[in-house]
Amino acid sequence: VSSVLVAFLVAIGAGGFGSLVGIGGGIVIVPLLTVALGHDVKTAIAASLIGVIATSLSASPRFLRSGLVDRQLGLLLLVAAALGGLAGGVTAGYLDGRLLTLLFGLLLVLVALQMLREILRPDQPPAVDETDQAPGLSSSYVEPTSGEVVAYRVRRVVPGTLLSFLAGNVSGLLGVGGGVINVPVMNLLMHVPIRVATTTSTYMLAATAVASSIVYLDAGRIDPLLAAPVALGIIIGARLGARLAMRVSQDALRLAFMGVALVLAMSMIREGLAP
Amino acid sequence: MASRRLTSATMTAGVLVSAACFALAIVLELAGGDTSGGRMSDLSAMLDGLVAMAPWAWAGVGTYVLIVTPALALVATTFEYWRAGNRAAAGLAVLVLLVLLLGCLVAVVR
Repeated sequence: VSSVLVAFLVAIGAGGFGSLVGIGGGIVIVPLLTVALGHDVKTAIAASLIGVIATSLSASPRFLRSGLVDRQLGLLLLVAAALGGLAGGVTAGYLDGRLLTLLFGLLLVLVALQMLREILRPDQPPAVDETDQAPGLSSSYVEPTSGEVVAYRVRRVVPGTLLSFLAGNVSGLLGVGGGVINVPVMNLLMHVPIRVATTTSTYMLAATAVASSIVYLDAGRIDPLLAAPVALGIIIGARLGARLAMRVSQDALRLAFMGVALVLAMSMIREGLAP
Repeated sequence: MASRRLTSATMTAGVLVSAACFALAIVLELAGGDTSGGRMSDLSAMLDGLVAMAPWAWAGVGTYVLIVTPALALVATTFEYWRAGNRAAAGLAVLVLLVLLLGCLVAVVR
């Protein structure tokens, strides 16, 4: 069977599964490419970054047209996130592949634990206080389910921007989207409504991933015959996943993801620690 | 409020062109096309590969289109904000573009 076809089918599954549990395809595709298909971890990370760009670019136009992206906030955070992505890409070039594999395994464990926390104790989004006069960037959006205009004020811009650098760095280093960090930072720390936080994060991912992709491209780490099926497969899988998401239990999916993530994490950690 | 139409159109066009290149590359590979790969930095080999319908060359073009599209979308965003008179937001978009340019410089220097 053609390796391109296998990567394409695996990417459809990863994109679909990532979309169903709301974490994107990158965190699923890298372990599958390395553990299941035996690709070098840096090549897998580079291919995943191309998939991240494709996912962001295919979802963002709809979010932009519907006014759900806080574009000015996104651009502000993008300055830091892109710098972080660039630093992550450069750092990855100097790190041993086994260390990256180990770090990815640890990231998978963290994401699985975060998911368990969400199942046991869902985050309470901060309430919007209309009378609040504290300083911050003001904005609003139209809630698509009710047609209501929701006003909000963005808080803690400086720590939020610094954490965006970290999100970009993780993205560039490990080839994941960075939404795992960006969305909770915007929602819980900066008081951005969850709907705007997720769409703004998706909008930011493409430019963040480009900053690190340039470094991977120059290092000859982008294999076009791996990047192409991964990017196309993740786009198709994410669309299928979004359609299926309403019909399946999110908690059951999250538990399934936790199981798969922990198995892959153990495999990656073992490989990373091997002499 | 600045229009978002140009940015959205740029992103959509980039995704469609790259997806078409990727799909063609996959079909060519499955049809038993030239399976030899090539370095993406070797642009003349890529051009030859495009003419010869080599899968890796079409996949490479799609990858380049994807990488360039966010930068083009940022140029579109800068234009939209500038036209709407929002100089601060236009400046932020330019700053992000400068970071991407810095990435190119870092890649060249390394």
